[in-house]
Amino acid sequence: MNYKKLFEQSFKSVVPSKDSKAIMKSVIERTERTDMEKTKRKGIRKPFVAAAAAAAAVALGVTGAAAAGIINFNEIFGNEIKTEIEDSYLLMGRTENIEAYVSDEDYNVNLLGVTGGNDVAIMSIEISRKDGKPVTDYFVNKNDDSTMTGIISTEYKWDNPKAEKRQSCKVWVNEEGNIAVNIELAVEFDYIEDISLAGKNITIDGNGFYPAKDFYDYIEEIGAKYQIDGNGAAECVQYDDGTPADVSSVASLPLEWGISFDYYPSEKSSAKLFMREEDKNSTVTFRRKQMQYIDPEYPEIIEYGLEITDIQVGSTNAFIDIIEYNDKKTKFPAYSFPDNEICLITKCGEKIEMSSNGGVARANSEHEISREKLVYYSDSPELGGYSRLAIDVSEIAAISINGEVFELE
Amino acid sequence: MSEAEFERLIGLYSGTVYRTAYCRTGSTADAEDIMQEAFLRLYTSELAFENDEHIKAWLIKTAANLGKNLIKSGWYRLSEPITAKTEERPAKETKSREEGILPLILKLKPKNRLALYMHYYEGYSVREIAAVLGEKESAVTSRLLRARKQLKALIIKEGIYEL
Repeated sequence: MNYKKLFEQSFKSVVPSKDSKAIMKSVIERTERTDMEKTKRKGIRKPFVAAAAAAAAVALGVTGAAAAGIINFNEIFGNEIKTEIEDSYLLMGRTENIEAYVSDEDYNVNLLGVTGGNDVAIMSIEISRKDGKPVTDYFVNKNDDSTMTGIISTEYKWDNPKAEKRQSCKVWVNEEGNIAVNIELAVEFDYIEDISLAGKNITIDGNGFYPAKDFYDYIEEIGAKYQIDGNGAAECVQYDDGTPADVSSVASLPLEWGISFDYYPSEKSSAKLFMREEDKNSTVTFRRKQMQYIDPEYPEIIEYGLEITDIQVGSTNAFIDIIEYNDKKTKFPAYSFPDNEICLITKCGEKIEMSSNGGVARANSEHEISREKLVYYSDSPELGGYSRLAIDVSEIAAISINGEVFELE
Repeated sequence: MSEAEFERLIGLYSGTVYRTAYCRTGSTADAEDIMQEAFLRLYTSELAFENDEHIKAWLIKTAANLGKNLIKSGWYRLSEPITAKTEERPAKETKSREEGILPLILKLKPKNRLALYMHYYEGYSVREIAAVLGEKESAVTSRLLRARKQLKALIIKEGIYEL
């Protein structure tokens, strides 16, 4: 339901009965009639308070820390580092020139940590109250509204205008009853050579936080659409004709907030995360045979292999099945393994559980069928279920599918 | 303020002020009176406004306050406002979308319908509405939420059109 159009339609007939000249004449006549009795008011020059108050830019930085200069989060937080964040080595990055702002002086926005490599930065942010009370005391029910969303955008200063960025974000209510935000900003490397984020300024702007269900229900109600990533951040809320949709009336924490900093990947960031090889197109070829009947009319599969291509930092890996068979029919077989039993095994024996869904199958003129199934990694719930993984292809020793281990060549 | 400038402002904002007053009182007659009073106050005011938007916000607030005072006054309670009349329709007949929902809006509480009007017709954000009306943003948000739910329920009940 488009309330804006409804109201425009409803109120178009609600107009004064007199035109401007007649109104003016009436007012001036009244003024002249009461001129003798009128008490002169003293003019008071009041500074105009902008109806749309601009957010005050305040250099907040990290609570208790100097905003200027180089800040190494490990040194700043020390024992204050939250255990789960420390374990995940999120506080590995280095930042300079942190600035933060929030439109409501009762609130803080803190950059808890940043980590990543040259082409990805993963940030952990918290919105809290200065009086220490939980944010949830003021607008959401922590039990019912643990899933949040917000309109969040990231920008970075970049020399190459062709650089493409990818952003994903997760917003939730943490144990303290505050708003937790994890953002991953990555730069696509397809178009440019220089993809390093090192030394670049990253700016994150947010515009409110909403209980996710209320937000989605409202969007549906007004017939607007939005872009949203799989982890909950909404952006570009608009109607079909491109008109921005105002969601400010949804129950929310109506903050305007932002944080910016110059980002430097830390050497320690590679201690836990395996960074990508320099050869971005490196692949690990993995072949196995499996016979499978799908239909009596079609031949059995002779061979198919498995390639792991270009495992990326972020959310997805692509597994491609190459299937050959000796008939001209192009019907493709059913996917041979179920969704949720895929595990990467590193050379040091670590198992990284993956999940998968979806998939596209394509056949070429030579009767080769390739299937691409998205396989992705998710953090444990303790880390917020955030989806990011950086892994060196050469570190993968084997893949376990349905419990069956396939060693890589 | 010169007469030319005054006429310009009336041309710009008489509709807004009138509709604000109408939202507040539900009465066309009262809306006319309030509109005139608001512009009278503007004309005789020695306030220094920084720009037209400031003037508009001031006029809306003035009209809203005048409407509130009128509602609270004994005179208002005793009189019967002349509201927009709607034709009686058979219950099963679906009402035309073009007719609008004005009669239903008038069934809402004055503060709620004013907030809805400012938000959806005048395009004010929650923050702007709060600043103009001198309320907390959370209060405005809650009011819009409640008002929208009430309005939607009325629309569904009246069978105006499918949602």
